[in-house]
Amino acid sequence: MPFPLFASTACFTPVQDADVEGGPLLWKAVRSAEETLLRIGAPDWGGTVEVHSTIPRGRGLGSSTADVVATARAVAHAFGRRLSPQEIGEIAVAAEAASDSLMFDLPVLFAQREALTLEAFPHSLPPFTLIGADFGGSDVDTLAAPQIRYDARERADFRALRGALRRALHLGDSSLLARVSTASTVINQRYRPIAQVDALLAEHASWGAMGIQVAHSGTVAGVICPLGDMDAAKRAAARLESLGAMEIWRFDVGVC
Amino acid sequence: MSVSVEVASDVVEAACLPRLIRLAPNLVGAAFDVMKMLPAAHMVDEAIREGRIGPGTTVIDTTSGTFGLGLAMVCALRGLRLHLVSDPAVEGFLAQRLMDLGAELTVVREPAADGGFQAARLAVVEQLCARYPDHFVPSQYGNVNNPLAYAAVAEQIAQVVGDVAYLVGPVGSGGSMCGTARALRSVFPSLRAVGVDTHHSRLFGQQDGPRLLRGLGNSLLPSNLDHTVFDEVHWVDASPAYAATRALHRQHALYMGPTSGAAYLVAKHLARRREGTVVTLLPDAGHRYEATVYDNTWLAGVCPDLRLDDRLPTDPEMVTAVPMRGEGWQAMAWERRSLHDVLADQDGKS
Ligand SMILES: Cc1ncc(COP(=O)(O)O)c(C=O)c1O
Repeated sequence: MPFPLFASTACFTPVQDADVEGGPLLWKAVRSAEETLLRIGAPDWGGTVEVHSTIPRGRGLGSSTADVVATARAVAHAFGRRLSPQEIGEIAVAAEAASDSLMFDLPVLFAQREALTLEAFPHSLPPFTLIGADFGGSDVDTLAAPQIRYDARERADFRALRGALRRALHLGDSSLLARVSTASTVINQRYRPIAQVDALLAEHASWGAMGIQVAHSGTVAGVICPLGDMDAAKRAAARLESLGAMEIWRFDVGVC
Repeated sequence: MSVSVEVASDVVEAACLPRLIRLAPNLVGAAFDVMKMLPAAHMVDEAIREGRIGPGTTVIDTTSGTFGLGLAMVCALRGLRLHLVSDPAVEGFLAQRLMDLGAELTVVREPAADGGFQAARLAVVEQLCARYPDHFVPSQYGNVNNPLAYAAVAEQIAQVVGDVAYLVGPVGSGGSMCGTARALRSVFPSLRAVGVDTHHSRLFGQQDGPRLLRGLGNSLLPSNLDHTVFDEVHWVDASPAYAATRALHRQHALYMGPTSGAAYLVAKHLARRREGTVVTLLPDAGHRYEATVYDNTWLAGVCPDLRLDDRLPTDPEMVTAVPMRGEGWQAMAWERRSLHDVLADQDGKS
């Protein structure tokens, strides 16, 4: 889901017969630059990577993937090249082993450790207003977290969810999309629970909200409201605050 | 749905999912050719994946119905040896078809003194398992991959129909109804599951007895039947089920078997009386029943009072306890209780 409030920008200065440098905090971006140079056929080039990001780290907002994607695009650009989202996805997984799918413009079902696009949907997200919140707590290291092994029943549930997701995107049905997201949140709570999310799941319908969304590994969650429904948005924000959210964001998705 | 860009790898892949057909503004039929292809393929393919079926494995099971056909189709396609144990009910075209598919067929001629044909068949299965040490018995009544196979149907219904208020279907092993309803409820938690059984079946608390309507109902209680899935249960006798089977053909040109007729009768009633979309499973095509349900002379013999041109009954008789000597078409609110709780609740009331 696009989150328009934050962004990463990268700058790459190529140097021939040099290593890629960027400092220890940017090792994922450095790996991304190295991987990109190999892929575009410039293995004897290196250079310096600089990244400027406003995205909070370790919250499940995809901050490291954003750095990696911005770097890959900057490196390619320095050589007059463009990369497809799929190529960037492969670079990102090579650079950070597990990557978010934010290199794609349209919704995808993305295997984040394999860089495998399981399904690409030919529709953009339907419109809704999202009230997002960060509940804080310790930073999440996506890689260090054990990989979830869903049981057979959950895998069966995911098939129903996937059918409903195709329908929601095809018809532009925000309410159905929100129900899919809520069902996925319920399953995620069994493995990566965010304590406050149980209250959101139980109460959101009474505020006029359509559903709940969480980062698969992170400390952020969101309440999906009908587009422009100020009343639902206000009630959601008030409840997020009373649950102890450190930060609350509001933005619209699926609108131009 | 759009046209796929891939050719199916075999008939199971091509034809295991139902066609979803509108039968009334709020009623959708899910019409299968042979529904049992789906659980048969899932049980066999998972066993292959887990290494429980290897190149020398003999698949053994007991069946007198469409599960045997589904299993024989899957085993033929996967190159597996299959030995089926059945009773005289299988004879005729079905037996011929099973043998064409390469299945070896043992027909048990005498019912056991205790437990009837079912017990006699199970005894032969045990002998065969001893004879073929490398064997795999799918056991649709207890294998969790039977209900799990219906995730594919839940995906299809969620995609094509969307929000479903009522899911209706005949119950035999419980696999299709429990598997489809449970998966659909992950997105549509308020979905109500309505099971269709027949009188003198043990599935929902009646005593076992002779039944004319076959393919649904059971003399045993299968572990794949999770009673707590069901909101409502209907018991339908052969006569209204056969009438509804013929009506489904006459009114919608859908040539289906008698368990489909029973489900259609119940689904039509719900679509007429309740709010929301009703989806009904229609498990198999009518060709197997040409000489029975679709033969007026045969019908007149077994159901002398049946008038095919009469209007179908529109509503069941509602009961508040499991009927013990029931007949016709009866229904009861089940409210997602276990069988034990239902029986205890009604003992408490009487
Ligand atoms: C024709 C027919 N209808 C319905 C059923 C019941 O389906 P399930 O076993 O999934 O409960 C069966 C099961 O064998 C069947 O053969």
